[in-house]
Amino acid sequence: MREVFFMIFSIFTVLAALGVVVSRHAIFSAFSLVLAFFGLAILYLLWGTSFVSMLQILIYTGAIVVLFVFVVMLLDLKKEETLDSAKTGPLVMAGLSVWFFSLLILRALNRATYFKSTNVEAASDIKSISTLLFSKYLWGFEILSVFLLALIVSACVLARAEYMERKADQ
Amino acid sequence: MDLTELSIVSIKTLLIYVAFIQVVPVMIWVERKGAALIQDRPGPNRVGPFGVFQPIADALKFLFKEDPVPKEVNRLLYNLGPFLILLPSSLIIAAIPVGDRVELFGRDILLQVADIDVALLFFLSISSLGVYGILFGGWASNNKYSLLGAMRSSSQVISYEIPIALSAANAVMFYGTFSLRQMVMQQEGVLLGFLPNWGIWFQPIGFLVLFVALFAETNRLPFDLPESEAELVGGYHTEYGSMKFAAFFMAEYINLATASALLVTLFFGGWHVPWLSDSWLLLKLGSQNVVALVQVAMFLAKISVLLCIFVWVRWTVPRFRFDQLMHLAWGNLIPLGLANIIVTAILLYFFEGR
Amino acid sequence: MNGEIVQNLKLLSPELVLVFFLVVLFTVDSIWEQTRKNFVPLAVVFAACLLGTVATCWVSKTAPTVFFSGLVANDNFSAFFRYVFLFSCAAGMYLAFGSKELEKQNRMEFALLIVCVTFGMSLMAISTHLLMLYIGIETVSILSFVMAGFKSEDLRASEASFKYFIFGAFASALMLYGFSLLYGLTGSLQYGEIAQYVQANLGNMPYLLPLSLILVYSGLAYKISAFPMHFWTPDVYEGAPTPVASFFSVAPKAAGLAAILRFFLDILSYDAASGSWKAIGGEQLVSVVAVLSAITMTVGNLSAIGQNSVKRMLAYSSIAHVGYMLMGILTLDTFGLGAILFYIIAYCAMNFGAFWVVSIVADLKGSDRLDAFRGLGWSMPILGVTMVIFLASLAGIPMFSGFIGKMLIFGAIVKTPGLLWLAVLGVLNSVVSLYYYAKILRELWLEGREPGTASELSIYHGVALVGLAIPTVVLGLWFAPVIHFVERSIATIL
Repeated sequence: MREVFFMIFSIFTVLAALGVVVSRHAIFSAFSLVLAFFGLAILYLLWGTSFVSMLQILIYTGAIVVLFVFVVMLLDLKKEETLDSAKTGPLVMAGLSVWFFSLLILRALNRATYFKSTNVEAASDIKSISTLLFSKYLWGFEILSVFLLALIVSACVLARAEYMERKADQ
Repeated sequence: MDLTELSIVSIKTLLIYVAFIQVVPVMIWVERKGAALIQDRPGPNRVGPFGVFQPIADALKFLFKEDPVPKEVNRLLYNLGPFLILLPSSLIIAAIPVGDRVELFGRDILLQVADIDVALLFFLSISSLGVYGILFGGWASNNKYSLLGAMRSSSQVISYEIPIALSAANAVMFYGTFSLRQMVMQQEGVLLGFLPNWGIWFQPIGFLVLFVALFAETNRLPFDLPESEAELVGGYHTEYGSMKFAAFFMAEYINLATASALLVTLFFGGWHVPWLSDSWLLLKLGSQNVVALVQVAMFLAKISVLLCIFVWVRWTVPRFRFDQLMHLAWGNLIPLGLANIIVTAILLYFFEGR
Repeated sequence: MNGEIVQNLKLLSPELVLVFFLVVLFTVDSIWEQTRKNFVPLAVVFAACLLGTVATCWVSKTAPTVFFSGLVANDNFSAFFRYVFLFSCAAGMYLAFGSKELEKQNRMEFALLIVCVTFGMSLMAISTHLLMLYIGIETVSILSFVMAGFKSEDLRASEASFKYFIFGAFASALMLYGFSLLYGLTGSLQYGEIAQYVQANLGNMPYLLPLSLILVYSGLAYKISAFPMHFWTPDVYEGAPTPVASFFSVAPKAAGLAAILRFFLDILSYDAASGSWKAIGGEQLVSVVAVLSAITMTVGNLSAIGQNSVKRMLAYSSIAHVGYMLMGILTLDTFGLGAILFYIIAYCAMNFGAFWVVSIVADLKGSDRLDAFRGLGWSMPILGVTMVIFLASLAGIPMFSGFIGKMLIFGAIVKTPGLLWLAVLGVLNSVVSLYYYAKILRELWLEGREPGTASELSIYHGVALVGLAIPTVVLGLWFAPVIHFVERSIATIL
């Protein structure tokens, strides 16, 4: 039963991801991205990690792609025109590279010997994740707050030029 | 997962879902009659006694009205908008505990579509998906005013998601679990001898933050700038007619119902009868199923009270301006929510026994 | 767990000093309006770097440890790189302050960004866990994108920042794919445990392992702008403000090299005794890295020949220098790897110096093309002389530090069997590089004096130029103690 669901939803996710790349209009790309992330969240559910799955929906589909969609809407993009002449070459190259890369991966996967380290953290529910986060990975967790501080400052820096222009105009 | 279990779950889902959808026609009537009461006028009184059949009349109107589609719209997204906004509203219903168990066919059936162990997080994530219906609906209408309304509405919704998350975090810290059913189970009985054992006594500020933020999430006055009739005609649902508009309408009311359900579950004891514990009820009433009926009735009563409060606030308070709205979220509710979390953490640390 | 954290927290004091001063900068900026226009950001950054150096000194006295449950390591190697990063941070801030390209109002934010980038680079050098490495890389990368586009009203800068960002996101994705494959194979992200897995499976190495290592390498190669991920370098260096470009050409490269050295040496279970790669088909790996470094050198040098813009030329030359540095990995012993670290020190001083001169000229003349340098050697002698020193050192002319660095690396290569062609190629490349460096020198000194360009070099810049030129000259003559220091540093991770 689980395999069937996995098959269905992984095909769904891959098709949605393809839709992101193939769409002519940016807004359809964003919408396909929503579907791809949603499919990914369902795949996480199938593996039993419900917390990560909910976080995926909350953060990715609920915040990040919304920002993408905002930008696309504010930019008022038009449907892209196709360049007929330049299509076959890149397409053939893309197809060849995808084929080659998948052969490589398949070959590698077939010959891999998987090693189970004894230190694998079996943390899939919230309690164990949070325990790990606050004990073993505490330093990494705290550094990210420093990083976020610098990111907020950089967002202000990037937005400042427009603000200064508008102030100068007034 | 054998056939009986599958059929039980399907029937349960259907029943609970349909029950929640019934809120829509009831709310239509309550809203209009409530508005009339507050504004000192009769309200709908043509269609049936006290206008009770007004929702039916509205539904028939929506069914038979023409569905005008503007010319240059993005077909796919225009048609997808109402669907996208109904989807999250319907999904959230899955997490809400309507009552305790029922014993039928020799099994214990929980009166909740799915007892998810991360139910509160599920609620947060799925409600954040509601933004897409608004955004795509507004943008696909090929109408600048709709786009503006959509932008305003979505920025409002995502801004107010943060106070909701902070309040939810507060509740999680206090109850020690993400599961809504567990939260309700902890609110049974009596507190200090005379108060019902509700969450609101322990987290008043959390309730305040959540209450205000849920008004904004559901686009209700005083936060309904996106749909303000005077300024933007209809905001993001201007270009939609008949059933598609009805879909937006339905989504708003179902959102309202689920928001009230969340408030009841977190702060008002869920499906417990105040002051009475479940075991006492079982003793007095004999059968578990009768107790379950009483509990469901209690839940509905509590939701109804909250819905009436929503309607009451809507017709009493004037609308916020957009910058006031944003300032309320970022400048007032978020610091309040954060301070609340800190205070709760400190208090929990000191009263570890509770 | 908590006891260990509290006990070992002092081993991270250089990074904690940086964080503290970051918070100080932020607070001062929010409270005190006037600070945008005066020297407070510079003073705070200098204080941070000074205290950081003191802290590094103090911390490096303790025995080498891998702590916080295998997340970070503290040894001489990390101490070395912390010194390099703190120095580059101070120098970068100093340069930015004197440059007209960064306006007065933005200095506080620039200081904040540069301190945080230094923090991220420290993290890259000390991490022994792929997660920490990734956090460090992303901190440096994303804040670098912003620093490159700091003057967001300048179209060139925004374009440079955008190109950097797209490329960085792509490289990041490749690297993460490598990380996830590694995790799938070994069940751990910690360097030590991955090394145990590699040791245990020396006989039948799964194909996925080299594939994942290639992917991780491509992410790290992007950071140091080695082939094949070097394409962003000229455009970004040209578009970004010159102080930012000079900082980029030195510090993130050192950080990337630190990460590469730590990661690959740890994982590939380098055996000091036998002196050969124990894992992954020893010979093939050596030749692959050799070819990569050869191509990097050649591409860098050949592309720099035709450049008219000095910033682009220096960007290509920095790619070439990375090629030289990568050669040092092949030698597989303390001497060769130590040569890389020496080269980093020498490169730091001379490249910073060269870019400093370009920044001064760009402020003066408004462009960085070759003809902007015309005759400046005569009107600003200090500038001219120090530029001669820096460029001669970069080209590898004897008795400057660049020559000593190249000599060490080529010497180590020559000793390794089968790599003589690489050393010869390196020497040829140095000769080629002399050509385009000499073009700049020709403009400075030999193209005649321009009448009426009596410009004075400010003391601010003069002090810095002399301060950078002195180590360049001194290290070319008296390098033994530095070599000892460097070998001691590298020995701790072998």
